[in-house]
Amino acid sequence: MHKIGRRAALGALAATAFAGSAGAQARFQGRQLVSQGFGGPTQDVLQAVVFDVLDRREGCKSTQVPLQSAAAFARMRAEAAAPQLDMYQFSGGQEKLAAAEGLTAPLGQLANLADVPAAMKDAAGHWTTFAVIAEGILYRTDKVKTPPRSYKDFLDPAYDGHLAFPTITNGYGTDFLVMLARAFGGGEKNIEPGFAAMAKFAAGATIFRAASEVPGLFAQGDVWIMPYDSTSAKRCKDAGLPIAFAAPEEGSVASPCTVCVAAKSPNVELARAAVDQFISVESQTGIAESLQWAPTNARVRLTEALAKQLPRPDQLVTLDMVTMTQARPQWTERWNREIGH
Amino acid sequence: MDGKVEPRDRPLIQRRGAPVLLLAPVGALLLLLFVLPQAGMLAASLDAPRWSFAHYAHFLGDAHYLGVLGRSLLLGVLVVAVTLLLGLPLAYWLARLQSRWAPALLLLATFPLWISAVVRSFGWVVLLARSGLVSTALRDAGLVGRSFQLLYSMTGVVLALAQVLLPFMLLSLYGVIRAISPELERAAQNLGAGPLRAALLTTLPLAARGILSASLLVFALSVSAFATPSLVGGARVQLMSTTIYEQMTELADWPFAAAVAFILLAVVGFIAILYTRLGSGADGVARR
Amino acid sequence: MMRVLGLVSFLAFLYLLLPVLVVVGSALGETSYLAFPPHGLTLRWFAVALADPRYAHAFLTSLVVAAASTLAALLLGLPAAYALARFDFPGRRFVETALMMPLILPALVLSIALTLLFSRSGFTAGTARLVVAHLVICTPYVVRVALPVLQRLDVALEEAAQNLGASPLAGFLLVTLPAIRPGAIAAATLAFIVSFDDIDLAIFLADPRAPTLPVVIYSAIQLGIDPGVAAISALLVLLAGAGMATYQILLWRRQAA
Repeated sequence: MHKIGRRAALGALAATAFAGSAGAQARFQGRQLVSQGFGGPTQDVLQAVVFDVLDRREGCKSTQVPLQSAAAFARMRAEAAAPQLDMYQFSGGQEKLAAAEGLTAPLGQLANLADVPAAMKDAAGHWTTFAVIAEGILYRTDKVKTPPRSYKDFLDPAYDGHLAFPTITNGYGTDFLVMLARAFGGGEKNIEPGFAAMAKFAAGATIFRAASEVPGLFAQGDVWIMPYDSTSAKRCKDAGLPIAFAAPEEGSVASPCTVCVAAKSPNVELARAAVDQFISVESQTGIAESLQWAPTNARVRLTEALAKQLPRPDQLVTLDMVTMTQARPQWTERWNREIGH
Repeated sequence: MDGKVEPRDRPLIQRRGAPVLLLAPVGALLLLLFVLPQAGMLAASLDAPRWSFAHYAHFLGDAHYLGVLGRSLLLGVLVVAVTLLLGLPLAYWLARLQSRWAPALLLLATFPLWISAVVRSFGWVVLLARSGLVSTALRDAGLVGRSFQLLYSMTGVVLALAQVLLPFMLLSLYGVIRAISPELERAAQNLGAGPLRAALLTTLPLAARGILSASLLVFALSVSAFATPSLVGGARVQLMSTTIYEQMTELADWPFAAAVAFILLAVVGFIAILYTRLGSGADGVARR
Repeated sequence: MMRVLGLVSFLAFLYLLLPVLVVVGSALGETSYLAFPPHGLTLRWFAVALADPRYAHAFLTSLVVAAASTLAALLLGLPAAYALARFDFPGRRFVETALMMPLILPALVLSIALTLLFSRSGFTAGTARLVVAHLVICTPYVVRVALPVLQRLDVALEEAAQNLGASPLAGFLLVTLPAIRPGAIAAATLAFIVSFDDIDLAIFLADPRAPTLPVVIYSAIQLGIDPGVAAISALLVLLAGAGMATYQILLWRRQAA
């Protein structure tokens, strides 16, 4: 139903997949794999460029179950005794907590794992990042004449009543708070400037919860500018809305998408093969082409044209997740009191 | 006569013992699938095995959170009010309609329920957003300012949730009113009362228990609803259900989430018990 | 008075059906996002929706799950409602209130608790898990709706049956049940819709390989809703409408005969 880039992805993979299946190993003939997925068009694309390729080569059948990362983690915890989902794709940092709670199985020696930089995978080998999404500023090209350059632009009175931003419990909402702090001289360890800045424009702003609301906000909500990610920007563009994505000068937060295997899954070996597929050159290329997510496998070679569409590495910033995870409950309560009322 | 017949002077209602068989299946269901799993959640909220009320104190000692509780209860009250105001007349009209269209119309009233709660909420977003139909109409009528929208407000949530729950109120009330014979009203009218008075004096008191029961149902459902208040209310309308959801998923704090859930259960459960007591007083006519 | 009531009823219907109109209307629009009134008219979203086999499979799964849950909820709930209406025993009010508890707790808490239980006890059969979970929320509805109807029912009817020699069970089946038929149908309808429409339990407990319709819809809207999803909902409404029309026609035929 949502065929964003699917044809392109399949086309690009045709050669490689064909070559791959010619020497079919079919180690997992007839086996079934269940993974949690992001839902929607993203899930469909990943099904095509990762799981279908795996299925063709190994003779197995993979299904994805749609669940947002946060709810997915809750399910992972609840099912720990008898997992129904063999593996998980997280976009909110849940993999670290999962590993800490003993919910993940070690990935073992995967062929492609060595090509993923150490900073992008678990030192203990329980998870790996398979893509990086760029966060930035989405804006309406017909209403905003000069593209926004900085997070400071959110304080511009011209946007009063026309801006939106995600709630604190949305990962991007927390990142927005931190980037505002950074823009005004603070950061993860000094969040005060962030709250001060946010308080200035929060009153007239629309605060939303999830990506599903983004197109509606632009279409009916009279919103001109918001912080979110390149995936939603693409989605809005594909839906026919005049939306563009701008990388702020403070930097585009690199939001990692990770993958891990459930500890007591009955299909650990197959799940590991799937993880390996996620970080394989062919699937990584497909992901970059169809979703414009930055690959993490260092051996991936992108065409000039494609590289232009992806976030520039020098523009990407990584946030201090450790500090943020620790401070999150306090920030949330303060945010609920001061901002979100 | 065979010995199975109850003697006339002992009302059916006083029989003991037999209900166990009738209630056993439901009891087993509740015990196994509700009490047992929730006991685990309760233990988590009490920080078992350390056993402390820290999470409860955290919630109950914070004015902000108490405000959230109050808001949820207020939502329940408002939704019950709206659904009763619209549902009671509608249920009565449908129940008394001497037309072959009646069952069809009742089914029509359940149409909104066939649409997934999520899609329905998006429909409300379209209606209530700044450039939506409702906001535009109010603006054109000169009643509101330029950037007005009912979306992301308590009012919007009440509107959307009441629409979702109106069929529940309707179906409950319909069954009750239908079971009350129209003969009573006709008798009252024959004695000189107008149609409205006749209904108010005869059918309404008899339906009182059913009305209370339906109201309680809608109240409970409003307080526990998540999808609609979350999408239509947005992040600013903080309710018990959204708080529990956030704590349970985004913040992964199960003990605190469970504590909030049980506070909700206790408060609404208490209200339910009060209601039920009210109910058994209101209707003394059915018993001998 | 019926005329005034008719007017209020008309307004109530309008209020009830407004979002339905919005959903159906935006499914007809040209734009790739929801808009009401729709910009332009097209049927292509319906074509897109019908062409996706996932929706059809999910619809059937939802039907099966809802039918099973409703049946079980009726079998459990009606006797319970009867017991609560006809018998007075210590703790009766407590049982009545206890039966409401599953409706007061947000479904997410139910899902997680049940997932924990099922995982620890090894109950892993996919769709069966969901039916059992739905029982927990559907049965209270049945009791809640059937109880006041049963309480209103004149015990004299049952007494008469028993005086004529019928056993209590026969009395229930042959006299009480038909007498509360509108209430029982209302209860069954509610239970069915609740099960069909449930998302909170389904995203945790549905068989990963056989998702229900709300799960497929939930997936489709992750990045934003589009008219294709609205078209599916519109088709459901049309289906319900067709069912209603058929039922009505059959009813008339029977009455005319």
